[in-house]
Amino acid sequence: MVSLLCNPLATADQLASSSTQADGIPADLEASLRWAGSELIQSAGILLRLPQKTVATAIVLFQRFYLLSSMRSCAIIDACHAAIFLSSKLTEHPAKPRDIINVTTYLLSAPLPSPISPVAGEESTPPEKYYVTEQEYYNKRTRLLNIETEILRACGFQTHLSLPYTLCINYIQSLSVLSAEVVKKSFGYLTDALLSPSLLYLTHQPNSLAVAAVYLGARECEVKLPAAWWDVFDCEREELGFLVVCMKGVSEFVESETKLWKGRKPGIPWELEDLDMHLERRRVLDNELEI
Amino acid sequence: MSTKTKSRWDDDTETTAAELARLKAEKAARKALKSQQKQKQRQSSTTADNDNATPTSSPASKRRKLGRGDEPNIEAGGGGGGEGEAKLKLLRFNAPAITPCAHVDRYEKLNHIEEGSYGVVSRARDSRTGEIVALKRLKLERETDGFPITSLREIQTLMAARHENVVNLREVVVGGTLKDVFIVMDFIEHDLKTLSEDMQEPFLQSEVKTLMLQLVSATALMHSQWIVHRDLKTSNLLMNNRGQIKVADFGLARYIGDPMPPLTQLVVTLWYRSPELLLGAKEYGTAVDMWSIGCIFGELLLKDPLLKGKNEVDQLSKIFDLCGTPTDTSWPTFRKFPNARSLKIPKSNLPPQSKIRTKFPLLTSLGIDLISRLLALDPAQRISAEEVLKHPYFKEDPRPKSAEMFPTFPSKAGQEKRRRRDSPSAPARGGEAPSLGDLGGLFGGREEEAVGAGFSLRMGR
Repeated sequence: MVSLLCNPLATADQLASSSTQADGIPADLEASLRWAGSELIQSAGILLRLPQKTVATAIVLFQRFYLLSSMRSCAIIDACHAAIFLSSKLTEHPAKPRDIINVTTYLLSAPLPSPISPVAGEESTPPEKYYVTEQEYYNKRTRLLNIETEILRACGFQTHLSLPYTLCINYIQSLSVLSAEVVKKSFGYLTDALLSPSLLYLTHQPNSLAVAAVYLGARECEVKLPAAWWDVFDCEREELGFLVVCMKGVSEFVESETKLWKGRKPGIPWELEDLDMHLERRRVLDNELEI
Repeated sequence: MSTKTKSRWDDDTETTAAELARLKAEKAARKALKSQQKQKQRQSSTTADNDNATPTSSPASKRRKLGRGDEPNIEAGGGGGGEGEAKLKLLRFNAPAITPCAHVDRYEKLNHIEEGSYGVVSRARDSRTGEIVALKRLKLERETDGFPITSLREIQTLMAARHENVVNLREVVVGGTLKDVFIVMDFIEHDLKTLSEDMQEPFLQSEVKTLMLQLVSATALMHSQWIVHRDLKTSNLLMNNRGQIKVADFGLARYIGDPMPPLTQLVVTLWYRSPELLLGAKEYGTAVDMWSIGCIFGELLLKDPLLKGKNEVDQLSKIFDLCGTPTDTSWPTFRKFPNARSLKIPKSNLPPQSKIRTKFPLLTSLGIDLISRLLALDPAQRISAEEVLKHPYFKEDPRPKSAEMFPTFPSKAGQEKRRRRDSPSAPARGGEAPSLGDLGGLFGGREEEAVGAGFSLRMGR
């Protein structure tokens, strides 16, 4: 069941019937929230000095969780915390709940895009804005621990995830085009793919992801590869084409989302109350538009 | 699945090599494109012929695929192979679905089997199929750090280590509250410990060989998947009535890496714990399982645990008693271990003798060789699971008894409670390893003993 080349995937039915949308959240908002959560996990992972393996696992767990659960039943901020916590345990790089909560609070206190390395000249956020009181901490921690079990239950304890990064190096090596440039570009696309609105890590096996990343990486470095090489790695031309388009599209998607949410008040509805308010406001606006 | 993966990789390297060779040829003949095309046509028609002979040989089919991608007109020349060329055969796995846990209501509890520190195991019936299963309820009530990492590892490693000699994890089910989590496993009638206690005579040599081969092949699979079990012992080896043993209780198992991450040394039940763990090694690997297997081997032969230490110090002393004291040649690095500093090994002209030979008078010399290599003090010199499987001991007479020929035993675990065991249990999770403190007393009192029993001890104080 568990293999380097095989991950649990979402079925077509699961992708078609989002329980989040059934709960009254429009598809575009669901995509935004999923993007925001994945991006927050990635940034928090860097600040927590977690390896990319842990970060990628956390993002995929987060996505698997919301494949089946509604975003109205569980706030995305709590799911982010829990996904990082759980993934840090699964990948043997334990992170403490307190550190996770501190880091996300810090990241959310800063304006978009998240200041992983503060831009010179810009004023940094005053520390009062990201201070977590004991009471807040305990509330968040309790929710974190509950959602952790919820995530495990939602995916039937099927936490296995084989990431395409090592496969990618393997493929590049076996094509005899190993160079730091190609690897760097390809890895970049694999990390991009984590943010894709098409949920690439829930719909494609790691070998295909690796093939698509190698294809893009090699193309950008102008490295020639033999004809139809992807057949050897069991990736169909059509699948490759789809993945390439998706991976290339991620940066555009992220840019448009960043533009959409940058400076917007109130911002991304991380908590359930925010989400309700957001939906209410949106309903009112839609009504006005109709009139 | 794992064997599939392996053969898959073999295929890949083969085909890539073949492909690269072809590419080189292509480069050389780039200018003469036409002649190359002809060559390819010839090549593909030969592969098509090959395919007719051996339709399942994947390297040939790969080459054919490439040919197809390059030139669509090949199909005309391909002749008989045309049918196969129309369709690519790509490796596909059935991806497991992402499905929520089922409810524990599906299982009807029958009787309590045993209670460990990690959970309560009961016998239950699957109400849909009527099958009997073992239901292990995880103890989560006292957990403060979320879902315990050890239980996560247990489920992860059990899912990864699918093998006919590893207990089969069916699913994980949940109850009403967040604290109710149950692991559903196949129900196995016996465990090797209770079984051998009830037997009048120890297992026959041929039976021991079968059991060892099963145990070691399961361990080899785990080790190939980077899993160390860390609690191999006879009471964790379940046995069904068809002569099959199943490794169970992955409560201390975990993934390891290369280089090793720092690990806790408080693992493995004392009697089966390797000397490097007792000496406080923080970096250890699959060799700790091999030591435990050595202890199990001895136990199966003697029908009694091999090294029954009362505590850590006593355990070490029993080990050195059986296997000889470590020397700079037999275990060059042993002085680097935290607990080895207070250990004073006597300098003697006589080489420290191993008593394994005298302990097993009926074992053949190949058997002695195997157990000595399993119980090698230096983990670097200890035999690996893969090597054990190839050991000539299993080739000599008496041959391993086929599992079907095993005697069946009256099922004890069926309706009645199991007896409490008198062997020590696995170390508690998350505990601190006790510092052995002063090991100076390890050989205490021995200096008065008569010299000549292999080595002499001197307390240098």
